[in-house]
Amino acid sequence: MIEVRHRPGSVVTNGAGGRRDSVRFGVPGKGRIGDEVFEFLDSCGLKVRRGSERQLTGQIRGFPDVAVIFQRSADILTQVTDGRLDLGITNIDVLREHGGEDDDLILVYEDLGFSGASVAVEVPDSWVDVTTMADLADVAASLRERGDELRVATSLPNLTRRFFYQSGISHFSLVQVEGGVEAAPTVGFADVAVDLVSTGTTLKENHLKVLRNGYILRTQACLVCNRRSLTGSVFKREVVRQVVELMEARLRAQQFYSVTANLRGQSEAEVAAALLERPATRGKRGPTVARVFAANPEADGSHWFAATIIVDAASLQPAVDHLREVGGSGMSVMPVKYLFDERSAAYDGLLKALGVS
Amino acid sequence: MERRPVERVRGTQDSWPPEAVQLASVRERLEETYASFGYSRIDVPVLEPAELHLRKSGLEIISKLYAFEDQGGRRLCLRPELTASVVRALVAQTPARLPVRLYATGPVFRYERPSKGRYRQFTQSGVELIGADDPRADAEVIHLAMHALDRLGLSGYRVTVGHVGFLAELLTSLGLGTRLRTFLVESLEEARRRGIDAVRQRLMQLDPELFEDRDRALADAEDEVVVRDAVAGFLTELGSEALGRRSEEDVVGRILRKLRPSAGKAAIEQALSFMARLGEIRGDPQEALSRGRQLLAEHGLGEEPLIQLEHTVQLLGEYGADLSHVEVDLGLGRGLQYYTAMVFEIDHSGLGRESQLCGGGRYDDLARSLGGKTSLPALGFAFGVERVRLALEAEGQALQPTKTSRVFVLPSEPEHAGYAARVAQGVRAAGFHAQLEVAARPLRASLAFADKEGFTRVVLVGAAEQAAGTLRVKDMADGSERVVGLDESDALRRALV
Repeated sequence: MIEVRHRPGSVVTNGAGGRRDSVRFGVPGKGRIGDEVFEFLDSCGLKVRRGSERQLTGQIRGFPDVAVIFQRSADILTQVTDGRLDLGITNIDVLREHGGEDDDLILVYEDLGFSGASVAVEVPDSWVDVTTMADLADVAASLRERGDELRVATSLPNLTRRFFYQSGISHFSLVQVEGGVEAAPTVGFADVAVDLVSTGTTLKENHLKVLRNGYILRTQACLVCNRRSLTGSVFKREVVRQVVELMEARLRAQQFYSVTANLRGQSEAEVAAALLERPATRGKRGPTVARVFAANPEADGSHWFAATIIVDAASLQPAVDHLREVGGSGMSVMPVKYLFDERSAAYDGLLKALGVS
Repeated sequence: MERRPVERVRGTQDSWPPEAVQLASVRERLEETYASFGYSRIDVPVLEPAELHLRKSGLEIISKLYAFEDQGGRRLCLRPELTASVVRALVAQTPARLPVRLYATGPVFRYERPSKGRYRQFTQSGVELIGADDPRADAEVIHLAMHALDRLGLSGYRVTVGHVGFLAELLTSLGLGTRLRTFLVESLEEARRRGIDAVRQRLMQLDPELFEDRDRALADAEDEVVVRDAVAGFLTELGSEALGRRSEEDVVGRILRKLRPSAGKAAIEQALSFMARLGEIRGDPQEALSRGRQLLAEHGLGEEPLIQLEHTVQLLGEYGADLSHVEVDLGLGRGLQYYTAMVFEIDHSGLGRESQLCGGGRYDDLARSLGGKTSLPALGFAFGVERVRLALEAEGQALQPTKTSRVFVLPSEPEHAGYAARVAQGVRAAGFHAQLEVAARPLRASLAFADKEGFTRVVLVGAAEQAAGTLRVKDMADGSERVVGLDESDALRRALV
């Protein structure tokens, strides 16, 4: 098991964040995920202000009641679990590693759309005879026959152990490493490694390959919160609602475009009917059609209309094609920045998990 | 941070009276039955080397093991079951005369997903009969488990008897490797629960190459020699670094295995369909056994497991077990990897999803796997004590132990506390449970406490009683009082009843 080390100075209970009631929001402050998290929050309209790289706390513009506390992903998980943080961004692999079965920990948003990777079993490139977990089980068995043991380097011992057992490998030893897991087989203090793989560059640099059935799980950044602190405070729930809604609206919007086209017709109803004919141009609910008051009226007495629809990324090209077919011109496409529904599904889900309404 | 109460570990329980008393009584009554069959108690440690269970217990146990390193860096575990520990003890110190009959009871630990009737710490109680390979031993062990339940007054239970030897016979005849054989035998239970396709899926996930056609297959032994040389040469070129800690022979062997024409796929499909057939054979013992015989004949397999099972069931009837509780199920698999022949389970209809009360079977190879010099034919079973209690509750069985009258002994003034304690001893000697007032509170409050706690008799002692060597017995129902001498044991008993 990973021991939780509480580094002095990093635990923020009551200072730095300001008022007693503020929402303590744990955000990974360093490394690759650190850069991505700022970009993500920024895109959600949650601009984080931080004095310097070394500062352990920050603020979100427009949210004076949120105290941002910078931590490592794994520490955020344990601190949200035990209530020192109310809300936090961490990673799915960290969550699964720790079991994620504490009743006080609620997974609010499973996929924040960044920091994606796979947790995978990696063996040296030169092991041409080992391509599957079954082969690795053979290697483990023959090492064991010689009184030796397969050594696996990882920072995720629980996930690794579970996956190896399921793959029929029960004799191996774990070499627990916090960073540079992939170097272990090359350096020689482990035979194989279990680590995150995203682009595969590190893998190549260290002359490793992933076993074809060696993918343990898919991971990405996620949002978690503490049950007690949210059931105990209406105020904190309200702040969390705003944050969650912004994230959800932003993530949903990424899949949609707003398309506006000019169309000729006799009436709004006629134009709308032409668009409703095809699924691609129906939009989320239906087109918005507005009359364009052209400088030079058409001779045949028809009018110009502007029609706007919201389409998902996959329907963009079919929508444009159909708009052309029905005489559309001057089509402009804009990314949607936020997309709010009547209610926030993520927040409703959270309320349900909390058992409050 | 708030100061929160320390919570119970997830999946564990506190059992309070009367439940705790009922559990103790279930344990005692089970053990009485084991003892009446000539079994003796053995106690084994809760802490064991993790290796004990890694060797032969199988995925079902290993994946739920509470394993950790102690301060000396040893890899230990909290025992997940009792049998491996008992066998380990026997390997270390094999009795001079066999067979030996032992029983053990105690807590076991598994990292389960907790639900009703499924806990991370629970109590097992069971027997092991070691050193006998005759069906008579099999029949005794099943009979004992049934008799133990009968003596507890349970009736809604069902015994399912199977035999993992049927599948083992087939897998051996198909020439499948050890790891594959182990996987398939272990998957019998999964095949029953989730279907044969689920087993195929999992196998495919584990070793995708098993199911692939090999277009680069080696044609004959000559090819093999050529490839062997080529691979060896290639490895030499790569240098020793490429091998890691693997031997060259290993690597070459594995590559050749991958290149040989695959007979595996057809054999695996045959094994899977055989497993599906086994799963269909269940029900009345006679009928199931005759269908089993047919299946073995179809595949040209030996009848040894069938004969054993037939004999066991017949003996079980002769021993006096009620066969209407018994069915034969050839698809019965147990989660544990070490079973080699007869296996059985007992379920109770009143328990809902977690209906299994008892599981057991024969594990003739376990002693050798644990380092024994010879194999030691053996079998046993274990009850889940908490589940047995739930089953008794579901059947509305009287779980209350016989009630002994409880008496509250109360000094009217603090200075008579010493005399009150002596009086309490006298009350206990007369066969009652005496509880002494130890709280400093007014007499009225003490009486109110005794009343609320359900004491029907309160013994009061003060200066007069101490001087006379007497005690006052107050009937809490009507408030009447009687004075009796401390040494008048008959009068005392009458007054307290």
